[in-house]
Amino acid sequence: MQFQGRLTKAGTTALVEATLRVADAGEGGATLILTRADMAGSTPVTIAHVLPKVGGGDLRLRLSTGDVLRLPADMDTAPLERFFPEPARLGSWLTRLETVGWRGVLLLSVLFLLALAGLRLAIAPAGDFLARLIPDTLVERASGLVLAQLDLALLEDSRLPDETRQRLTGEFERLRLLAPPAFADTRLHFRHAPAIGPNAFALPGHDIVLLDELVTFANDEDVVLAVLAHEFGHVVEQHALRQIMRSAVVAIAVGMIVGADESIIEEIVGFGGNLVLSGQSRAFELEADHVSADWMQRLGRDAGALPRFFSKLQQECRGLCDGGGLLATHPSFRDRIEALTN
Amino acid sequence: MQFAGSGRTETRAIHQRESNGRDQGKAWKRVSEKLQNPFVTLPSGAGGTDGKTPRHGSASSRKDRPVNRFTALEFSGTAREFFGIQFVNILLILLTVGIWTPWARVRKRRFFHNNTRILGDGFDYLATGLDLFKGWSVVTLILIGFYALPVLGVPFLQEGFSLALVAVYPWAINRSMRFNARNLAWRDVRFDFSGSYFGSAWYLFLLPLIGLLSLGILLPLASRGMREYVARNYRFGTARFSGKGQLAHYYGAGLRALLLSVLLIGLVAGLTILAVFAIDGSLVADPPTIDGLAYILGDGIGAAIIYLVPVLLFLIFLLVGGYYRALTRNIMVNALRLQGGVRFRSRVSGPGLAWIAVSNLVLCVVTLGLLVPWAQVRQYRYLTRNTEIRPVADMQGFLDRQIQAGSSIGDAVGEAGGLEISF
Repeated sequence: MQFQGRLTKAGTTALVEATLRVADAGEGGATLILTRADMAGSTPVTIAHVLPKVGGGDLRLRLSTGDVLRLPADMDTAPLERFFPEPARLGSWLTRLETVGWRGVLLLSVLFLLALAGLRLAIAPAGDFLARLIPDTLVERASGLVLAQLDLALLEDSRLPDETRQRLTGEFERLRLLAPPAFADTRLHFRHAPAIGPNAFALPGHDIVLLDELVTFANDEDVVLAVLAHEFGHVVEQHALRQIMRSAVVAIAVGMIVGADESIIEEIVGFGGNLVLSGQSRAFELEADHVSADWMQRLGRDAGALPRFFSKLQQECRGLCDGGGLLATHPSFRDRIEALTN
Repeated sequence: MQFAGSGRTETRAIHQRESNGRDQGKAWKRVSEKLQNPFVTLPSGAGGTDGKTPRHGSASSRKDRPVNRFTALEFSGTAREFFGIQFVNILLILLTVGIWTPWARVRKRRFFHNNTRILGDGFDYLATGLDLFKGWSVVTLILIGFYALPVLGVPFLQEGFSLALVAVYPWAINRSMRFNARNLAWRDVRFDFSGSYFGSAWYLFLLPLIGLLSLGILLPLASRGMREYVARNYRFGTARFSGKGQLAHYYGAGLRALLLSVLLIGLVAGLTILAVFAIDGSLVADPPTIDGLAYILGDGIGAAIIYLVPVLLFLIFLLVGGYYRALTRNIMVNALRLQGGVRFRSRVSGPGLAWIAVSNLVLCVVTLGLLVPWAQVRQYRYLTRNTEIRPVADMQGFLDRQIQAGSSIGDAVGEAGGLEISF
C-alpha cells in the first residue's frame, strides 16, 4: 500500500515528491516507510499530527521527521488511519458524516427546514418557560431600573393637579381589587413626557406608567380607566417579561444557527425573527384589550371607552399613525376596534 | 496578458540554462539515483488511489507549472461539500446547545482555506476547535454577564459597559488577526500579523468613522488606509507584504460608486413619482400635505411603494457596496507585493461582485436560507478565481518564523461583534 504526495521540509516552502508506504510483514509489520524523491533510500517514520480532510481539501500529515506530507483530497487514505494519533480519528469520522451525496443534501435540507420550523414554534413556549424561571425579585429590580433610566432620559415629573391624580389613583385601586392576589401590589406612576405624546405603558414588573398627555388628550375618565385596565392586562399576563424572554430566545437561536457566518445573513435571519416577534406582540395587545373590556364591564363602566379612544387617535392623525403593518408591535386601530366590538 | 507572454519566454530561458549545467555535471549522479531510489520507478499518479486522476496537479504536470507569470488562484471546494459541512455544523450546534460553535468555525475556515490553492497547494488552517473554544467560552461568559447586568440595578451600567467594550475592540481585532494569521500556513510556512492597538484603532475604526462622518468625502482615504494597514502588517514567514496604491485610484473608485448610486437612486425616485402620478396626479403638483399622504397610503399601490422603497434602497446600498469593494480590492491587490518579488493581481469586476452580492441575498431569503452555503461558495470562488499571483522561482525559498499563535480570545470577540476583516 503506497501513498504518493508532496513533502514540505519543516518550516519552509521547499517541496519534494514523496511516498509513504506501509511496511510489509517481513520488514517489521505495522510501520510506515517514507521515500523522498531527492534522497536515496528510505526512512521509517510515524505520524505526529493530522489535519483531517475537510470537504475537498488535502490531508495534511506532520511526520516524526518534522516535515509535512500532503496527500491529495481524492486519495483513499482510510488504510492510513490506524497510524493516526488518537485525536485525529474524530475528525475522520466527521468528514465521513459531512460527505453527502445528493440524497444526503435532500435529507439535510429537510432536517434544516424542520429545525427552522421547530424553532419558530418553540419561540413562544421557550420564552414563556424562561420567564417563569426568573425570580420575582429580579424582575422587580429590572423594572425599577428601566423606570429609573427612563426618568433620567425621557420622563419628567407629572404636572397634573393633585386632585386629578388622587381621583385616578382611587380608580386604579378598584382595578387592583380585580387583579389576582399576586399582582395586587401593582403601582401606578404619573409622568410627564411631551416628546412621547398621549400614551401609557406597563414595565416588566408590577409597574404602570401613565403620561399626563394621555389624561389631557382623552379628557374622559372612562377612557383613562380603560387604558389603565389595558396596561394592567399586560402586567397580569406578564407580557413585557415574556416578550423580552422570547426575543432572547430568538437572539440565541439566530446566533447559534448563523452566528458563525457573515453579519449580513445574521441581520436577515434576525429580521425574520423580528417578524415573528412583532406578530406575537400584536397578539399580546389584543389580549390586553380583551382584559380591559372584561374589567370595565365588571366595574360597571363604559365598555365602549377603549374603542372610542382608538377612533379619536385614528382621527387625530388622519390614518397615518394607524400602524398594523407586519413589523408593527401594535395591531391597527381598525383591527383593535373590530376585535373589541365583536 | 502581456505579462503572461513575456513571463513564459523568460521561464523557458531559465529552464534551459539550468538544465545545461545539470546535464554536464550531474549525469552520473542521476544514473546512480535511478539504481538506488525506488521512487523513480513509481507509476505517476497517486499510489494509494483507486485509479482516478487526482484533483490537483500530480508529479508529471508540476514541470509545466507556470513560474514568474500571473496565474489565478484555484478553488477546489464545491457547494455540495460545503453544504454537508455547514448543515452538519448547524445540527451539531443545536444538539450541543451551542457548544459546538468553535469546532464549527474551524471546519468552515478549514474548508475555505484548504481548498484555496496556489501552485496546487492549499492553505492549512492549523487552529483546533479546542483552541477556539477557550476564547469562545470566555467571551460567552462575559456576554452572559453583560445581559445579566440590569440585575445589579444600577442605571446605565450596561451602556457604560458597552462603551468600555468599544475600547477593547481594536485590541481584540489585532489579536484575532494575529491568531488567524499565525494559524494559517502555506506549505509549512505560517503567516503573521503585527498590527498595534493604536494602528488598528485608527485605521480600522476611527478613520472609517471619519470617512462616514465626512459624508463619504474622506471614505476613499479611509479605504486606502485600512487596506494598506492590513497589508503592510501581514507577513508570510520571514517575508513582509507591502502595498502602496495611489490615492487618486481610490478616489476614482469612490467617484464611480457615487455615480452608480446617484443613477440607481434617481431611477427609484423616478419610478416612485411615476407611481404616485398613477394614483393621483394632482398630489404631485401641490406641496405634499398630511391629507395627501394619507390618501396615498390608503391606496394599494401607494402602500406597496411605502414598503418597497426601503427594500430597494437597501438593495442599492448592497449593490453599490459590492461595486466599491470590488474596485478598491483590485487597486489594493494590484499594488500588493511580497518580499522576494511575488506580485498579485485582482481582476474582480465591480458589476460582477455587486450582482453576486444582491442575487445571493435574494436567493437566500427566498429559499429560507437553504442556499446560504451555495451562495458563500459562489462568492468565494468568484473572488479566488479572479485573484492572480505571480510566483517567484516555484516559491521554494520562504522560511517560517516559529512563533506561538497565542490565545483565541480576540478571535472570539471579533466573531461575537460580527467583525470580519481580511484582505
